[in-house]
Amino acid sequence: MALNVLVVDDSSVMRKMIVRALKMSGLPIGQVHEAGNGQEGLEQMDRHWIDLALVDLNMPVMTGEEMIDRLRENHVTADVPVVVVSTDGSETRLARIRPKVAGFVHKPFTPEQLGAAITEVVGVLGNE
Amino acid sequence: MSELERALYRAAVLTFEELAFALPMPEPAGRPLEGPTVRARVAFRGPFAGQVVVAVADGMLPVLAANMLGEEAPPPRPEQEDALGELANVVCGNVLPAVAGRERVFHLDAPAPLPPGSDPARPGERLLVSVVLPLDEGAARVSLFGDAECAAALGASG
Repeated sequence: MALNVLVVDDSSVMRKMIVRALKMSGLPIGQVHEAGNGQEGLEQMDRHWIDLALVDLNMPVMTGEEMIDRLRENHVTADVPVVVVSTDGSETRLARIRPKVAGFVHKPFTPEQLGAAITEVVGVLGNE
Repeated sequence: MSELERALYRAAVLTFEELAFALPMPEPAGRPLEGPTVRARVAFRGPFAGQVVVAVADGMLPVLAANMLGEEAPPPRPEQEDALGELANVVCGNVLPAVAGRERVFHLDAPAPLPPGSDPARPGERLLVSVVLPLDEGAARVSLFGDAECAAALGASG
């Protein structure tokens, strides 16, 4: 089954890099939706069926952390797996976020690193 | 090269290599940037405040942006500037844990372009350290500015 993916990042270039890495991963990717901040990400989640969300943390309007909290509070989206793709290297912040997400990819990443992280999450999904 | 310069250089090399496939050439650090440059800044706040500024030769930006997108042709100018901002963002996100410790939490502002000829230092800030990456496509300069607390915390007083 093809995965519908949501990419949330305030940089359009970074979103394109992530989408490119997704396509290179060999995973069955269906529709890819994009959002420029957490608020837009939540709106996309309302409009589309999303199997996996790739979310940056530092964004204007609504941060990725707040978006993830809102997703977890909503019973419809509470179980959607989220992979954080961020420059954030603070262990304090990551320790707070880690229990709420399925994976973490640190920027800068190679397409292979992103693909491997997503494959790991998708593999877990496939085994559920 | 001081520890601070080394940390900034490492973060910059990692970022340019992995995001833009731009490999540093074996030339002495400190080579000046030649010709007009384009710059982007990412300001940070937390235990102390400052900003990372990335400057590249104007003619190099289209190549870097195309590399980042994996395309032959350069993207439109706004996307090129977005690409430079993202390079600054990633350098900033990587250098802070290296110099301030991984437990400290910083907030990074969205990347912003710097007008040509403007002084990047904001009130209360000064240049703490600057490194030059000699790349195949031309040189890039990465600078760390900070307030007095930042300078003291990073051992850049003076």
